[in-house]
Amino acid sequence: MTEKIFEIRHIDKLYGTLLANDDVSIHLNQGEILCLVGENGAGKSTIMKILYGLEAPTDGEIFVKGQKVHFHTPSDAMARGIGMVQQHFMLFENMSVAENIVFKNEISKGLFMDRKQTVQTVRKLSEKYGLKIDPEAKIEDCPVGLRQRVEILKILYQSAEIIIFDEPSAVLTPLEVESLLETIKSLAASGKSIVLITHKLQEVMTVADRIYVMRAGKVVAERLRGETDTDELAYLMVGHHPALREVPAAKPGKILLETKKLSLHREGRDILKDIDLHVDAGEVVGIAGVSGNGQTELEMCLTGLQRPTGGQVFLQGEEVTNAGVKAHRDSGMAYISEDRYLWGSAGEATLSENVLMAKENRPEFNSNNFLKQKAIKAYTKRLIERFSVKANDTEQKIRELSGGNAQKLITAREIMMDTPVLICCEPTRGIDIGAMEFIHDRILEKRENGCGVLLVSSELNEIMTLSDRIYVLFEGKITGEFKRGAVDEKTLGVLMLGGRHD
Amino acid sequence: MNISVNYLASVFNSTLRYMTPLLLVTLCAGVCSKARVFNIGLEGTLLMSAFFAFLTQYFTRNIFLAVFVGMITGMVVTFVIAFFIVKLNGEPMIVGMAINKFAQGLTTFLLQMIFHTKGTVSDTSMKGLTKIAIPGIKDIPVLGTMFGNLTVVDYFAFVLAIVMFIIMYRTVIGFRIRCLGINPEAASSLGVRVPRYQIIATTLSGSMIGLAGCLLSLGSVTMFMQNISAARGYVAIAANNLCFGHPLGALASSALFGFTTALAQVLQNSALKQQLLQCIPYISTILAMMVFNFANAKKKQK
Repeated sequence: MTEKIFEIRHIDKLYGTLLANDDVSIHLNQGEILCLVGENGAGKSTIMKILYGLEAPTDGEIFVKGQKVHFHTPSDAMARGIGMVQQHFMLFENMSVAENIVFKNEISKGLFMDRKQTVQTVRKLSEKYGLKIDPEAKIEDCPVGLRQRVEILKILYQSAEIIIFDEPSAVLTPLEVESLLETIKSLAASGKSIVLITHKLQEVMTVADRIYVMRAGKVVAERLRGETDTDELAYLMVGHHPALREVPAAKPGKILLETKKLSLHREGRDILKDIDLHVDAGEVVGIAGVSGNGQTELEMCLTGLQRPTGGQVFLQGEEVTNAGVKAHRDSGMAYISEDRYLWGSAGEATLSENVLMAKENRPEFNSNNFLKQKAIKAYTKRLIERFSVKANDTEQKIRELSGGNAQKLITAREIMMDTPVLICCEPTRGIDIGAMEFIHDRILEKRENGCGVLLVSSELNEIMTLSDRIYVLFEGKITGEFKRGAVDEKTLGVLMLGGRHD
Repeated sequence: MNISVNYLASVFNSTLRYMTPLLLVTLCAGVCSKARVFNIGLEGTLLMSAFFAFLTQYFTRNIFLAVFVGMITGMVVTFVIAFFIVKLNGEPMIVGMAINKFAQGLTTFLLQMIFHTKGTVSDTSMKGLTKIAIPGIKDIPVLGTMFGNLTVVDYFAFVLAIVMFIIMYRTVIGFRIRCLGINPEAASSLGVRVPRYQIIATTLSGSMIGLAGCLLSLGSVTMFMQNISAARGYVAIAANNLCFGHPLGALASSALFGFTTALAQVLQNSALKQQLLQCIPYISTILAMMVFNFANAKKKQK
């Protein structure tokens, strides 16, 4: 048990002038589950990328099974039995599950692929580790949870002994997370050694044997699971105790956003069915639900990205049902989208360009169709300061920011639209505690200013903390409505999964 | 009645003859698209192959050497394209267009320098590719017309389509090429040297354009004229889109374009305007693309 399967000694990593890893020393024991926790940008992914050969260290040494190694590419690491399940899946969309798993180590008869044997081998592998998959299914038909499973099997197929998971739960639904954690435990039980990078402390407390906490590129603490708790870990991660949030009661005013029998019927299915909801001035309204129950479609109907097939949407008393995105925005709606890179920003555009979006016609930035570059830069700078976005320059690409910082900037842009209605979808998905608190503060501030906020989130905690009223969405229908404090987590959970409230 | 049967037989025959060069280029386009090398330089590659194969035959009168030079030309030009796109990160559109323009200029220039003409070069003493007359068939009236005047390379094109299918869809190497084209990042994360695969695969497939070039200048007629490739390189891109890069599908899509070209040819004696007739292959390209994309979009919706 105490044999060190890998050991990293005094690793430094410099990106330009940024010290991403500062004298990091960690090790992993045979058969253990090690968690690396820390905020975004704390350097936990970086150190693992160095171990996996994706990044070269500036200084320091790596030992695998007592031998000093130098990895230049992931295949070098793979050859030493180190595999990594990355956040962005590396799969071949229109190939089958089995084909994806064997790629690079194909089972062949001479020059030819041995398809039967391939399928059989993969099936055996999946049975051996209890990771159920259909070897012949196409990747494009697999949901995210299954794709992750394929990634894990891919690594197991290459007989890795050390498996690194980089924030594996960020993309999963709660049910999928549960089964992933089970998988991780059973892999460790079968003798694999695991590194789990995460910032979800509940997960850590469920599976970890040992925990390293990283902050600002350094390892700040090492703990065994038994000797710590989520409070201490959170404290170590952010450097201060996150205050338990007490949100004062809301003073709702007139109705700002309202839907009447909003429905969306597609491909013979009711995606949304007779949704009646309203958001009043000065309140935060939460939509609770397991993702995939119509949230995405609801937000798209509300923002004008999708035309509903029935019902109406009213913004400040005016009907905007089929009016389109621009009309929605003009009538006083801002929108923080669920996917910050797909909908929320243009990755290759600069920070100031992203900030300018939807404001390009405002006279303070536009003079006779020419952009006022100076004013835009100054404004972007103000936003960056006010929302404490960690950025080098207003002219760098938004893709270069970490997830949390990109989200802060998008939030800044939408909040500064200064609209009476704000729709926020998963505003804190995949970002660290510090940034999350900050965004929550801004949302509440918005409420204090008499605006209505609709919050769609799959994080129940977030919904329960922030919302003055909660709607539960299940299979496209609203199955419950509660005032703050009138419902507990358990009841909501039951409703979200299709149970009845009594 | 007999006349119209013969007529149809000759349409069939010219369909085959128009089809085979196109098929070879489409097969190459298929490999390029599967390997994610966006190659629009097929046209120029084809033109240069046709020219250098002709030139070699003109001076050496050695048909094997001529075909060899044609294939090498196809490979060299395709290598240049792939190298610029993959290794030097050139914009594929610009690289391809540059090659096409360069080929036009170079062949016109050399035509002028060597043969002192701007138009057509032919030499009646020159022999082209060996024509195959299938014994027993050539004397049967209709069948004889249908399969007359075809060279070894014409038949070989059909064999190649099947060979390419086996390589791309049954062998390990083909599997890797298809995978890395779908997601180059994923392939390189597993330690596959993507650029190397891309360059080697496309370069080798360039030899098929070389063969197509030989068919143009040394095939049913033995001559070279300015712009002899006549946009076949572009039509091949369309044909390749229709069959989604599948070698067996390439048989069907190149047959379609072969047929429409043949149709334009045989209708020349009809009352229809010449310019209108010459549009047929291109209009059918647009129509076919529309129909296929429409059908595809519908399939996706389901």
